[in-house]
Amino acid sequence: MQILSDFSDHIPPMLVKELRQGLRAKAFVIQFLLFQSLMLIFLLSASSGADAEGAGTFISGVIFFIFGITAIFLQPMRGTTALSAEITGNTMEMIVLTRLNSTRIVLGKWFSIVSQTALVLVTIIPYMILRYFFGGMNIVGEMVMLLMIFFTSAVLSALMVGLSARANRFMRLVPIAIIVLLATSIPRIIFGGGGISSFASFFSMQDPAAYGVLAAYVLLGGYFAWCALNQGIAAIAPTAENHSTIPRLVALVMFALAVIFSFTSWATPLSSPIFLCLIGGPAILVALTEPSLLLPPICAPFLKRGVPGRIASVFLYPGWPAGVFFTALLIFIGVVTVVLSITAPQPEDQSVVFLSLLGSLLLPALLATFFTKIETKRFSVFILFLLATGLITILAATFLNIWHEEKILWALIWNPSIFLPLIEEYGSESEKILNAVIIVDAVILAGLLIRAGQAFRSYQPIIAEAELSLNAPHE
Amino acid sequence: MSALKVNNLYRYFGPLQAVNGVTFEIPHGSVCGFVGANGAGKTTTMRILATLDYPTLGHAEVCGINVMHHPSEVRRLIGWMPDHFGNYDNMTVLEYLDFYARALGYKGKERRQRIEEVMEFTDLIPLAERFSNKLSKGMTQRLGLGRALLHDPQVLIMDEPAAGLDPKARVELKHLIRVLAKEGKTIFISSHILSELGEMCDSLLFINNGRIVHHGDSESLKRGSDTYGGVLYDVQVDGDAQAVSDWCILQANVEFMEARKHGGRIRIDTQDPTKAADVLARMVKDGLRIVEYHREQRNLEDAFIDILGRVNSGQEAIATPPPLPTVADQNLLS
Repeated sequence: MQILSDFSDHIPPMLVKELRQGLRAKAFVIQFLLFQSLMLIFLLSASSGADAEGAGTFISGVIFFIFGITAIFLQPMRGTTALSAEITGNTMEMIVLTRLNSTRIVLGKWFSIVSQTALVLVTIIPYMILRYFFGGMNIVGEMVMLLMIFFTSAVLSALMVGLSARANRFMRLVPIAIIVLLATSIPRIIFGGGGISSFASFFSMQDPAAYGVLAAYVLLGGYFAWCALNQGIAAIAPTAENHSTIPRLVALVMFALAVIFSFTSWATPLSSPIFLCLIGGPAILVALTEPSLLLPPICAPFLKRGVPGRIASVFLYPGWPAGVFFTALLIFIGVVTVVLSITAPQPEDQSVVFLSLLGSLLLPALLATFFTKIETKRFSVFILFLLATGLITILAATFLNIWHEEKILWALIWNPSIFLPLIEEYGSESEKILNAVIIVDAVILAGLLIRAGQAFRSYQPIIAEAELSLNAPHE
Repeated sequence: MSALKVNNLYRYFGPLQAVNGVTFEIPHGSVCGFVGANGAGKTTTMRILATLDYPTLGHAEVCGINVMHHPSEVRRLIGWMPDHFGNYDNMTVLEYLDFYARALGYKGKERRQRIEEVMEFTDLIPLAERFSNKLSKGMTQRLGLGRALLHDPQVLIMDEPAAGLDPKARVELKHLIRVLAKEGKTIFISSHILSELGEMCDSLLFINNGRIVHHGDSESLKRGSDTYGGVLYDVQVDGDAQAVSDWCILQANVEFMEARKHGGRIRIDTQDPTKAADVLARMVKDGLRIVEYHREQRNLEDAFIDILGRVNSGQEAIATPPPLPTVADQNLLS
C-alpha cells in the first residue's frame, strides 16, 4: 500500500491511470529507447566529422527529423484506440459510473499522450546543448520550431483521441491518413530546399509577420484540438448530457473573431474567406453529423429561459436538425462578412472554390438525412457520401482530361465538388459557373432546412415532456 | 420508500420492444433475483437503473431519485456489476482499484483504507500485484465486485455475475452476496441459475418478452400450483403400488402422474389443503395402506416454466403496450 503516494492525489485520476499504463506500454518503451539510441549514434557520428558547423547543422536536422517523426507520427498514433479500446473492452461504462465525466476522461487520455511527448521533448535538451557547441545555431528559431512541433503533436493527438471514439475502424483511418500525410512531409521540410535553417531564421522572431503566423497557428490549432476532443467527449457522454451547445457557442465566438479580422487592415481578399472557412468548416461538419438524440433534460435549460431560450434552441439543440439551422446562420454571417468587408472585387474563381467546398459538406449531410438508419452512424454515413461524391469528382475530372467533354461535368453539377475541376478547366466562364454553384448550394441548403424542419416536429412530444417536468413539483 | 422503483418502463430499439411496461418495487435491504430468458429484457432494465441507458417511456427510481433526471446522484447510490467487463493492460489489481477509488473521489489515507477493506472482503490481497488482465474469470468477478463496492453503495445491481464461473468461484461469489445482504445492502441480481437465486433471494422477478410475469418469494413459487391450478402429491403405500394408479382412475379430481417404487405422484386439481386431506381420507377409506403422503415442492425452473405457460395460455393478464411513442426513438436509436 505504500506505493500509493498522496502526491498523485493532485493529479487527475484519468491521467494517473493513463500514465501508469502508457509509460509501461511496449510501444512507448521501444520508441523511447530507439529515439535515444538513434540520437546518440547520429551525434557521435556527426561529432567525428571535421567541419564543426556542418556537423551542427546536420545534428539539428537529425534532432528535428527524429523528434518530428516521434511527435507528429508515433505519439499521435498511440491515441488511435484511446477511447474505442475502453468502449469495446467494456470498461468505459465502469468509468462513466464514477465521478469522472466524459470531459475528464477524454482530456485525461489526451493529456497523457501529450505528457509523454513532453517527456521525449525534455530528453532532447542535452542533445540541443551539445549541438550548441558545434556552433551556427539559431537558438530562438530552433526552440520555437521544437515547440511548434510539440504543439502540432498535441493537436494531432487531440484529433486521434477525439475520433478514436468512433467504433468504425474505417472512420478512424481519416485522421491516420492526415497524420501519415504530414509525417511524409517532414523529411522534405527538414532536408529539402533551405532546410531547417530557413524556417529557424523565420521563427527567430525578427520578422513581425512571424508573430502573426505563430498566433494564427496557435489559435487555429487550439480550436481544431478543441473541436476534435469535443467530438470524443460527445461520443462517450450519456445521451442525457448536452455536449453540443457550448461547442457551437465557442464556434460562434471564433467565427466572430474571424469576422472582426475580416474588417481589419491585415485581411486580404483571400485570407478573410480562408479564416472563415477554417473556423466554420469544422463547426459545420460537426453540427451536420450529430446524432439527433434529444431528451427532456436537455430541453429544460432552454425552456426555462422563455422565448429567447426557445429561439436559441433552434440553433443550439444537440443533433443535426438544429445543426442545419446553425450552419445556415454561419453561412449567412460568412457571406455578409465577405460581401461587406472586401471592397476590392472578389475573383470569381475564388468564390467558386469556397462555395464548392461548402456545398461538398452540405450534399453528404442532405443525403445522410435520407439514408441514416441508426442515428449514431450518421457521421459514418456522412463520410461515406463525402468520399463517394469526391470520387465522382475525381473520376469526372479524369475523363475530362481524356475526352475534353465539358458536358460530363455540367451533368454532374448536383455534386458541388464538381465545380472545382470545372472552374480550373473553364475559368473563362467563371460568372456562369459562379451562378451555377450558388444555385446548387442554395437548393441543397433549402433541402436540408426542410428536412431539419420535419425532424424538429418530431421533437414536440419530448419538448412537451420537458415542459411538464419543469412545471411539476420537485422530487 | 423503495430502494428500486420502476413504473411502466418501456425501452424500444426501433421495432424491437426490449422492455415493455415493466413495473416493480424492491424494498430496502432485500435481495431480489431477476429471472428471464436471453433477450427477455433483464439487462436493458438493469442498465436503465444503472443510468447507462435511458427509457423510451416511463420512470425508474433508485432510493427515490429519478435515474433519468439525476443520473449523477443515482450513480453514488449504486454499484453496477455487468456480466462481462474488460480489464486493462499494464495495470495491477491494486492499481485497478486505486484508479476507481480516485475516480470516485477518495483521496490519501481514506482511499488506501477503502481499497484495503474491499480487497480484504473480496480476498484480493494475495493478487494485489498481479496484472488485472491476467486473472481467471472467478478472480475477475471478485475484482469487479470489489470495484462496485468501493464507494459502499446502498444498492448493488449485478447482471449475471455467476455466468461462466466454475463451481468453486460460484460458491465464493454466493457467499460474498450473502454477506452483503446481511450488511443490509439492497441487491438486484440476475441469473440463469434459478436454484442459486432461490437460495439467495428474498424475492424473484420473472420477466418474459420485456414484461414482468411474476413477482414473489421463492418459497411461494415452490409451493405454488402448476399451469392449470393443480398440486402434486407424493403417495407411498405399503403393498402393491399399482393400487394407487387404479384408485386414481376412479376419482374425478385426481390424476395419476408417475409411478414410483412404492406408489406414485398424483395431481390434485385444487390448491385447497382441506380437499387434499379429503383425498387422503378417501384413499384410507378405500383400503389403501398409506405410509407417506406429502405435497411435492416444485423446483424454480418448473415454476418459471409454469408461469410462462400460464402467460402463453392467456391466464395471466398483461397490459397491452401503448403505440410506439415518438420520443426520438422512432428513427433515433443507438
